[in-house]
Amino acid sequence: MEIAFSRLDERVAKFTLIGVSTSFANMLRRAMISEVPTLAIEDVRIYDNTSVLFDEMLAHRLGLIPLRTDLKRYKPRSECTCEDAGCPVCTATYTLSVEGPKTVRSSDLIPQDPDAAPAEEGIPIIELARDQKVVLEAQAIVGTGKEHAKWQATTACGYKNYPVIAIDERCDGCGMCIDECPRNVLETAQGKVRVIEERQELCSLCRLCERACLAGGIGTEPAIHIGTDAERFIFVVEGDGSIPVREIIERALQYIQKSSDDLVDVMNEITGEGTE
Amino acid sequence: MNSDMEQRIDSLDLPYRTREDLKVSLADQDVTEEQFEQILEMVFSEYQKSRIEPCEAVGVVAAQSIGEPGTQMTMRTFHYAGVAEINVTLGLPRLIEIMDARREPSTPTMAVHLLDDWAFNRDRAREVSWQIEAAPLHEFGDITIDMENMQVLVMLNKAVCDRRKISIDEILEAGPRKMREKRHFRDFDVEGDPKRAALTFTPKNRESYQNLFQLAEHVRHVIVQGIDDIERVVVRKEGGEYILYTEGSNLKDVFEVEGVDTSRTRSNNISEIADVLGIEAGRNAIIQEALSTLNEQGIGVDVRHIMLVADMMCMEGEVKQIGRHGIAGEKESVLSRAAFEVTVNHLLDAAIANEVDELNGVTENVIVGQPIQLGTGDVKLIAKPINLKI
Amino acid sequence: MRQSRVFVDGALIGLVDDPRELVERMREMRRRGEISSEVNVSYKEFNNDVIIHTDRGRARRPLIVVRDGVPQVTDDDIERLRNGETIFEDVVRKGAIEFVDAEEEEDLFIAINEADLTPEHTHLEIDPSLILGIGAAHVPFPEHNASPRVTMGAGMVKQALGFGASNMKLRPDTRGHMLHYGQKPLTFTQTSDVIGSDDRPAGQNFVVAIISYEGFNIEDALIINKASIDRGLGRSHFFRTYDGEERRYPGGQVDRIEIPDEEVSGAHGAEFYANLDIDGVINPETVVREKDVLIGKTSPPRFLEEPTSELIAVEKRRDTSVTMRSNEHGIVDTVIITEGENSSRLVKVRTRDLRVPEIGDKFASRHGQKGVIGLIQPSADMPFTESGMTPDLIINPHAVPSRMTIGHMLEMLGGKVGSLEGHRIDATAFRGERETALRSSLKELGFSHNGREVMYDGITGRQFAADIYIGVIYYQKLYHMVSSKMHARSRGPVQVLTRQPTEGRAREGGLRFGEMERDVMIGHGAAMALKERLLDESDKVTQWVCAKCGMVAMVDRKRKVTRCLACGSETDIYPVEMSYAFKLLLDEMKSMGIAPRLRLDDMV
Repeated sequence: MEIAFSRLDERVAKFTLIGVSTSFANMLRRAMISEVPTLAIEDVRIYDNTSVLFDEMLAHRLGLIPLRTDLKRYKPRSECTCEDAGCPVCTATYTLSVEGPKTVRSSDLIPQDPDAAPAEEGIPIIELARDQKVVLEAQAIVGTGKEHAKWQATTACGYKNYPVIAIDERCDGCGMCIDECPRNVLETAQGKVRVIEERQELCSLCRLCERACLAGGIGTEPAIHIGTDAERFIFVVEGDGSIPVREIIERALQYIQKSSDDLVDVMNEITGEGTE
Repeated sequence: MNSDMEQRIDSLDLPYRTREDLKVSLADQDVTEEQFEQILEMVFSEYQKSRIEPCEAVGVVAAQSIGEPGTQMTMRTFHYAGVAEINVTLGLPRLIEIMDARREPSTPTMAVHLLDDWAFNRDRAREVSWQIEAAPLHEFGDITIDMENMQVLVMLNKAVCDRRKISIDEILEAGPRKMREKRHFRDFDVEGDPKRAALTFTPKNRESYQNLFQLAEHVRHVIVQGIDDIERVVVRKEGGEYILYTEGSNLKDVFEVEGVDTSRTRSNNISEIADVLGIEAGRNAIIQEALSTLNEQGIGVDVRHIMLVADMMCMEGEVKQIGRHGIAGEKESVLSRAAFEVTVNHLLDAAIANEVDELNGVTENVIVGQPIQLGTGDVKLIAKPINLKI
Repeated sequence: MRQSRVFVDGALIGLVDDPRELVERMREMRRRGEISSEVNVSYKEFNNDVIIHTDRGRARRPLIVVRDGVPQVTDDDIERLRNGETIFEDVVRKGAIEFVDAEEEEDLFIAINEADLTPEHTHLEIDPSLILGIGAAHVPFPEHNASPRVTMGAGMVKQALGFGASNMKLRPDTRGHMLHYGQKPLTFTQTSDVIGSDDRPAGQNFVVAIISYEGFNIEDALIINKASIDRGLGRSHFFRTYDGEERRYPGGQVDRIEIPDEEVSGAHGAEFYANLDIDGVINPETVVREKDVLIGKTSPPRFLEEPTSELIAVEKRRDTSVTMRSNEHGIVDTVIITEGENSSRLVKVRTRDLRVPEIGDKFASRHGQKGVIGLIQPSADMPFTESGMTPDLIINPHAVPSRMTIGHMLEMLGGKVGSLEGHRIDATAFRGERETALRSSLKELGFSHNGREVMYDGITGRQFAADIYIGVIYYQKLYHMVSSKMHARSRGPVQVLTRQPTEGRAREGGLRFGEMERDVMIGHGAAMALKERLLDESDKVTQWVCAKCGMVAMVDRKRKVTRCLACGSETDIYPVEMSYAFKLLLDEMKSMGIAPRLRLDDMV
């Protein structure tokens, strides 16, 4: 099992996973989407709201603001010793007190813990006109994307199979497949078609080139074959800023590890065998 | 298969058709006594199983089985099975006509079959068609109005009369008579001239132009040949023989025409069939018409349901409609009739006549709130006295 | 040659020798302005009549007048219109454009495009898309749809929730809706632009994939992405305004808006008045459940009673408080206290209810493709593309072939191109983007030109064997929401007259077991089930019937005996089970002067 990063920064990661099965790749993707915990606002106490939005709309918008999460610092409510009372270990508090006319942005949401500030500063929350006020107190807790999309750590997380393009010797270099390809992956060289060096991974597996080849009258089988490598996957992961992407991947893998260990334990319990 | 076996088959309580089928299927086979016994037993038990059980609500099932496909029927007016010129009511309106036992269907039509000597000869078939088709006087000659002498002159065309096998005398005789009888127009005198093949009509009132024109109209349209109700006849060759399709229906008079095969000729006017050929024929005609109406639309309804409806309609010797002037209106129960249509009248009439409602039927028991006597409700509870030994 | 009859507004006014000349002259006079432009004249050849209409209420449409193959609206006119130097009415006044009603249109030979003009043509269409009315004009690419679907699409545009009025916070509408995040459609039509419907959006642009998926989108159901709903897709608020007025009655009595005390008849019980303020009216932002009192109101007693034997005449007021409808709940949004007619105090309370899309809510595209949510699926289970995009909505491919709504397919392509390139797509009838242009744009953007993408199953992770058609299309949330419709009753209120269950969801009613259903039970022979349905579950009642005379008897409660009022006997009276409706029938027959006598028999 290998992982090769082509891009890794705070928000975006593109990497190739090698030597894994489809189910593992999917497991990783699903864990990244729905099992990596983040902070998000859950309870809002509104003291004054003379704006045009209703209380519940405002609260909904506050919940969707991504908050920078330090998972070593915050624990989920269910594991906290305060037993749902709300203490600094499981809860982060914020205040918002603004008066119009202005556009209230996420930078106006003042956190008690500066490390748990909103991940972006410019997110517009509400527009206030003259004499409109909003005064509220918000509490954020740790949750997973499974429960609500506000706790999703990723904005986009997907993969594709690694494309394998094979051109056999029947190719006559007519170039119809090159015209059809939307990603410009092919070129002619020495009278035949070949894959451009760095662009093989860009292939979208749409197989329009195969269709074009058949339409060119080459026979019953096209001269170009698009296949996939069953054990290589090209991933794209984008975070929303709450957790750095690298940590998302790590936490997802930790979750997978833990789930599998738990499963093995349960199985052993059932069958009564020793640990393997 | 010997006569003894046949007798044993006949002694079973099976329908005629089933017995005949059984005989036919066993005719060439050699069966042992045992096998024969077994066959008889199994056939009989299958038949018993297929019979409907007592207290099954057959009426409701029949009504629903006919009504539900009725909602699928479109209102197309289609060409009548190949004969493009004749218009016949089809589909839902026709079904309603049948169920309402209308005296005159909106498009009465007949299919006249001919006897063997006529059926394969085109000319003879045409002869029959002329004898049937109602032909007005103006087809036989020229009709002019003589305003000077205040007369209507008819010059008959001999060629046409010959072709249509009608003699001048017949026309001379039929014309005025028909005018007097059928059209009830008597204010005229007529002079016939057989030699010149002409007729002169003089109105009694020699002053009025209006009368003259009126007389002319009558003269033009009086039917001198054929049967009055038959407006149009189309001759068609089907399966080698010539068949006459008519617009208009008059069984009695058509049967009297030479060459008509009375055993195969049919009409779609059910009340006429019941009058001329009897109520059993009427019942069969209802079944035939309803079945063909449904099948033409591509809907298959089992013939039993239609048979039930037809039997109900013809039960008392005349064709009665299902609605309130027929079967529904003649129910014994007051509440049932009141629940069907005009409520207050039925209740008041019943009260005046001191009627008793026995509460035997479905509707009245539903009104009162008792279980109906069909299906599960057929079972009644009786009490057994403790000391009595039964 | 017979003279032609001339009819004006349906009345025969005279005869004319040369009808065509009359019609021509009238049209010329109208174009010159000598006759009002509201007059329409037509010559009917088949019966040689001239029909003239001047009345109100006819649907008319404008057409460009054409003489000898030359349209009377010149390029100069169009330039001046564009600059704002002239207005449309001036062109009409000039006689270059005239309004034509249905009768007159029969006589015309209308060219659709300027290129098709010949000397025989009489008129030219201003624009082919103007054959559609306002509702149908909202449908993008209508010329690619089968016409009944365009009709249905136009109908459903009228049922879509959106942002109806910009002053909605001030308006006490009896029922109102507001879509939270309305968007302008990516594929628009020129007509909707001109009307201004972009300022009042009524839907959102959804990412839609067409897959036969897991069986939850069969029969026009939709599968919706849970994460999209969590983020606010399809959320709306429902408002309802209740009002209470202090009416004055003749005799000086008046209603009072206050918290009723316990003595008032019909009081709901103390806990229902808990939310009311001192003045009897509820405060804004209070959470209300069903049957909570919003406005406490008492009314004077209905009929003036005679004073009873006691000295003090106790005036028992009735409670006519305005309560929240049963099966609705929400938050009080606004309270308006104002003056009604006759300067009586009028209180209006508006409640709002957040309606998050749930299973059973109805959504539709603008092409007559409606459907109800069948499943709300977590986004991890949704199929995804290589970039990680999951669709908001999954519709079933079976919805397309028999309905022939190709406009739906094109709009998906158009929306995809528009959202990627960042501009709106013109989808006006006969004038929209060509399919070839959309396809080549897709190819340039790196997507397959047929709109399909390789997608992977979210649950197993495997690539789908077929490429999936996915695009962006404008979907609307229709106001048929399941929470307004779901209804159940086991036992509940009955009508006073017939003692049968009430009718209607608002009155917690039962469903009607009608005549045809009765026939079904009879057909099955299920007599006891029928009796149970009609009697035990409805209005069963036990009446005492006198066996001697057959009339219904009474029970004398004071002396605890039964007595027959018709024949006077006190024995021989038996209890009979019947439906109350039947007892009512007997009473009505008695009122007609008929004596319905029941003959009794032992049950066993």
